[in-house]
Amino acid sequence: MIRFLNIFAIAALIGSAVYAYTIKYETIYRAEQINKLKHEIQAERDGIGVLRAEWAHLARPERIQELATKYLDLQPLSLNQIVAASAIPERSVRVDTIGRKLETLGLAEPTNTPRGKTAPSATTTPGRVQ
Amino acid sequence: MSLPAPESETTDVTAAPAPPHSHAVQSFFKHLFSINLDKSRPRIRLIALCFVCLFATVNVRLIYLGFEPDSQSIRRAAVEALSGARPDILDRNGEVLATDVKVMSVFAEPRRIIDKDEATELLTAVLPDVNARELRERLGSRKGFVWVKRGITPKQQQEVYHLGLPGVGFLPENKRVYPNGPIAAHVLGFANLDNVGIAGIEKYIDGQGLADLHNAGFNLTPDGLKPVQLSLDLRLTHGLRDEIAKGVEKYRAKAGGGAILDVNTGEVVALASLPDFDPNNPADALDPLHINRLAVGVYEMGSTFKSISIAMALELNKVTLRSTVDARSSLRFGRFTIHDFHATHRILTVPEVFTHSSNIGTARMALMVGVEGHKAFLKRMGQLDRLRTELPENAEPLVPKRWSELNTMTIAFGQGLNVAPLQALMAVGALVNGGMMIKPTFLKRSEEESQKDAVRVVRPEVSETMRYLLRLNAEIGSAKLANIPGYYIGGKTGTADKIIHGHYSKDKVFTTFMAIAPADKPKYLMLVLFDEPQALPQDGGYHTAAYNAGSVTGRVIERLGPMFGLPPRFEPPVQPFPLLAKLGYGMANVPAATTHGGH
Repeated sequence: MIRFLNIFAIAALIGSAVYAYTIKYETIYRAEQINKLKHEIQAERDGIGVLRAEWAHLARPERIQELATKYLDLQPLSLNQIVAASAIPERSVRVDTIGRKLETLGLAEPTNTPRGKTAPSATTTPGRVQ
Repeated sequence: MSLPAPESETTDVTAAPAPPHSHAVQSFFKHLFSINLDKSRPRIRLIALCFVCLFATVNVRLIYLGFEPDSQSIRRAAVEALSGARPDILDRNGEVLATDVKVMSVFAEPRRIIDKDEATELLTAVLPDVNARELRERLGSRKGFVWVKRGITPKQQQEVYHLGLPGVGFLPENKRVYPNGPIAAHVLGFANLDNVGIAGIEKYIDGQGLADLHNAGFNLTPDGLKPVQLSLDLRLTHGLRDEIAKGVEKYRAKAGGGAILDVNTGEVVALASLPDFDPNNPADALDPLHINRLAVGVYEMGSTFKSISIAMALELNKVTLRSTVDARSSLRFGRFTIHDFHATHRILTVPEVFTHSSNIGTARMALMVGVEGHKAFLKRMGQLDRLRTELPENAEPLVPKRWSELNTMTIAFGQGLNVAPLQALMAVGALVNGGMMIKPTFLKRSEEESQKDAVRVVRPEVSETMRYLLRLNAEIGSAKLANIPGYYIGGKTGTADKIIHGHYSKDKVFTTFMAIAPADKPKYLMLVLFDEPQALPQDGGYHTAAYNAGSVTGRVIERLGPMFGLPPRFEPPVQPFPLLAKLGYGMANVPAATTHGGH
């Protein structure tokens, strides 16, 4: 009985040692991974910072002005290019040009179908006003 | 096994018939755990000796580590020498004005360098702008850590790396960059190599506790810092600077400057002072020519100061718009005589005093108030004390030590009192925004925030009268060149003769122009100034403010107007000055006041 207990104790000892070390190395590995990711994140952040600075440098108004005068035919906004919303003309009445053509051709007239019944909608005007 | 005697004694009778093998194992364990003090003494001694040896080793190692300069402490020295992160500086729309970038810097540990002369030679071959003699001295020092060069290019880093020198390494550092170059340089200031703010907002940020954090050893990262948002608008600032630069060139002026102030919040939305510097190259900033002329320079503001004098007379009920002032002849005081530049030789109404920019008229109005009243009013308007904004650079106004009636008369039309232009801008802003004095700021803030410490300095009616006068001046007076249609501008010119060797010079002038937009409900107050502009032949040989500062202001409004966010108006507002209308004053188009001016 005691012998069995001893063997069991030794096995448990080895087992727990193996388990503890596994956990330890796993932790170290994970911690390394975390550090690596942190470094990567930091490197990316620094990269973004550099790119932001570069973008701000490239998009600085001085340079844009130079490029605009060189490559664009644009002129500074002048007052006569601005109109009030109320000054915009009303949308013109939509005219059904095809309908009007049909009308002049007389095609819109009701046709006498063999049914013999005159359509009640005979007086429909094609030129609708919206 | 070696102790058979106790074994036979302790073994029981019951254990006797057990097989000899199991018996032996059992007795072994029994002996292993048996406690016999006589026998264990030498064992305890042995164990004690072992522990003594162990602790002695640990102690020796500790002492050894204490003396040896380990890499950890050098790392710490490096962190201390590293420049700390600074918050980004953004404009009011979130555009980047200043940011940190990571750069590599080369450092050396002199103790680990074997051949210092060779190292110096190799390093200076790769980094040509490093002074060889200085570097040799630094490497010869007894320090654990020295910089070789801060901020190197990736190519240089490769080359230094390939030298394979022991004791030479790299560290990433924060370097401050200003992507927009000289735009808004005077407001931003700059930071030195150690990323410590030296001037402008950069210094202000350090004063807000950033420096303390760095000194306490916090290694701050840029993402942990909240960006600082300024009141400046990058595009407006660029436009203003560009137009002033053109003006400086056109009028061959010594210097120029300009600012746009939001009169309702006190925010400075644009500021330019030429000549300026590039904050990326801080050595330029130390040139005394490159000072911020809006805040550090003090000048006699000339006729733009008349707005303050007339507002004073109106506020203290000494005059109304219908009052008349005698400007028939020059005003004599002792051995001094005050002339008008555009002499009218008649009795002027108050609006005429303003539009004709009459020195005599303004001096007489100031005399009605008296010396003490004048002083008190200027004090209230903040013209006699140093204006302190976020910018650490500011200047004390030059106030006459003895303030006689003559001083009051000259100061009334802008001579004899030198103030910073920003200070005058603040006062005029208070005169037109309804009468509330708001201290200018360079940080973005809302209208509610700015109203908190605003002080009423003039009555709303006086403020409206001032707006009316400024508008009148833009329509029929000296501010016509800046009267850009659509924005309902009001403005006032100011030309001050400069003092050269103690005398007022006739050909060297300091010209200013102030404009409000729109005059019926001002949002922006603009200031443009030129130092010693030259007269151009097409201007009829005049170098007065209307022709240089005034026309440049017109250009600025034309260009920046669409960016102001103010809708242009094609017809003048129906009732721009309701309070004045109640009192019977008509629109500025038909100046009612001038009709009964000539009696």
